[in-house]
Amino acid sequence: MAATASEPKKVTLTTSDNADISVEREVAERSILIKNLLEDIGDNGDAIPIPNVNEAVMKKVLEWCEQHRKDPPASQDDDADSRKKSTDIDEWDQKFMQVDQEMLFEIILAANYLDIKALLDVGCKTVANMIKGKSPDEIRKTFNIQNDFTPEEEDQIRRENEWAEDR
Amino acid sequence: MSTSILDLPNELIDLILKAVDCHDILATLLTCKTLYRVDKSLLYRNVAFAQSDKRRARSFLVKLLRKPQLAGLIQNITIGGCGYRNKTNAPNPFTPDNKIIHLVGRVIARSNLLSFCLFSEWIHQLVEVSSFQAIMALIVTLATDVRSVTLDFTMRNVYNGIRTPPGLPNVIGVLGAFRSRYPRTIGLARPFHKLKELNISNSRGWRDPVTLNILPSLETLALCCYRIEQFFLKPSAIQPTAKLTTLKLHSCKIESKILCNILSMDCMSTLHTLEITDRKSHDVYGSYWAYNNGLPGMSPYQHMHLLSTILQYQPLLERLHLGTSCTRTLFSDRFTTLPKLKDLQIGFPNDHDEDTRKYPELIVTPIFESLHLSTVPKKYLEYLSSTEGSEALTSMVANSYLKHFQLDNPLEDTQDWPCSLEQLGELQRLSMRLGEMGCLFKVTGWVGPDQKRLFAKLKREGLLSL
Repeated sequence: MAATASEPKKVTLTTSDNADISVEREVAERSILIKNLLEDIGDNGDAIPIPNVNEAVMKKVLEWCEQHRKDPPASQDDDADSRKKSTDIDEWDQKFMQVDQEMLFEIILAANYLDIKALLDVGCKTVANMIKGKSPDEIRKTFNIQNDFTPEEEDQIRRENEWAEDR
Repeated sequence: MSTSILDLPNELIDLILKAVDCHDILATLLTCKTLYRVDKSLLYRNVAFAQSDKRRARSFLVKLLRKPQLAGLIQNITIGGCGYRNKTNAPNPFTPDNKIIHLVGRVIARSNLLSFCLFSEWIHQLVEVSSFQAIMALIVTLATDVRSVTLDFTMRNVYNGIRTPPGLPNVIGVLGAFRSRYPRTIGLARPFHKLKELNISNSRGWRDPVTLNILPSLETLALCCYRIEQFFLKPSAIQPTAKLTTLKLHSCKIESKILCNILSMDCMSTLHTLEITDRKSHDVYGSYWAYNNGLPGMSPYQHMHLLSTILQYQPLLERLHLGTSCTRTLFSDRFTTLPKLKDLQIGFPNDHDEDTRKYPELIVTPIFESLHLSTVPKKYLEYLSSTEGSEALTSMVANSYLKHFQLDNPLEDTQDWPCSLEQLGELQRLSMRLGEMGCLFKVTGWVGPDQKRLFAKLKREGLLSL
């Protein structure tokens, strides 16, 4: 709990499009993948390759990490959490997630790859909020999905799952 | 090509759909074949039915009876009483119905022998009985793997014109009554034998005594507005296997003596979370209320008795939220009988004297990670906004694990903000300093419309972010 060290440690990340991003180690370590990598290989100053994430997305992800650098680590009781259907998102995160869909899904994929559970959660909740209360047709429109069911097939599924339909 | 929802791997789609209701899941599955291939067991993981959903509930039951293996996928069931906006539509109050109990009994006794002819017989009887309680009781019975049941009877019903809450789908009551009537058959297939969590809100109309003995795996019990002594009517009947880890009582009418008796029961010795809050104690008004009145119907002496019961019988507590007042002795002893306690919410020690030099030792609490004091006197806030006080707090935080420190100021007799703007500014600087040290420091208090306007103005000017 002592005062913070004078010179924060930095690490360099190399993205899929070969851009080098320098970032404080504490911020980068919000990603469990990077944290584990740093622990395994030791911090020898080499750039860490992140082959699955491009520069634009990485910058966005690091922006989130910077904002949430002081957050307490996620609780362990996954089971209890997954059950809760709350889709409340904090104000800053909501604004952060106001991006086009492509970026949104890229962030989700990146959060999954980099193992940043809280960011993945926010991303999934954002998508869940886009689904909530919509009909299949509205969901198709929202996400630009092509309907490839025949009307008969759709009817059949509906009949089988009548109980799950909204009243 | 741009990334779309169809590019997400199945496990991420699963994660997204976990956050929505089953009709949203169905709507998503119906959009296209790619999404339809997602794990459909999700549809069954969380199911929710209100009393007005009888038709849906029956259709679900029919499906379960056709494919019993689906019932094993159900993990969480929510049964709600709301959905009726006027009295004429409300279902009849529940009366213990022998027919239902008998029917449920047969399902339980033979659930491992499900066959088509049994199925058609049941459907026939269901149409005849045709009660929401029966349908839900059967669903719950078939759902052998259910982990959590929530009975949600919010006040909405009552406010929407129904004076007396309508009869409640007393599924557990049915099973409890069944158990007492057919004690031997229960061993064959035990409903709720995996149930870990039970939440009941506002179940005032529920009169059947229920004991924990039909819930051997229960870990979390959350009750709101419930006469909880009914739950523990026969302590001796509770199976020794039931070991609660979490007990949350909100606005429960209870005598302190009964509460102490319950807390000293064997099945309570494993609690690691205990929250006893009254209707208002989660907000500042409540703090004020607790400050003046304590928990409903409790004298200061009874408060102390309750607290000492907890100190004696709940040695594993990690989280204690209590609307009662506390004493300085307990703080200076650092709750030594609760070595695992990390998260404490309690009233500000009420025997503090006026000497501000005594304050730091009140809260030198190196073991806590989260400390939330309600009914904080004005004097203490004044003290913290002074140089001496802020230094004392800073050094205390530096030597502790404290990550969250919140002070609730009670509503004072006047509606003034309890400290001046200068002091507020000092508190904010203190909050930023502590924030840099990794500790979230928050002061809350009663805010009137005038103060709200002032705060909004200060916020816009970037002078205030408390």
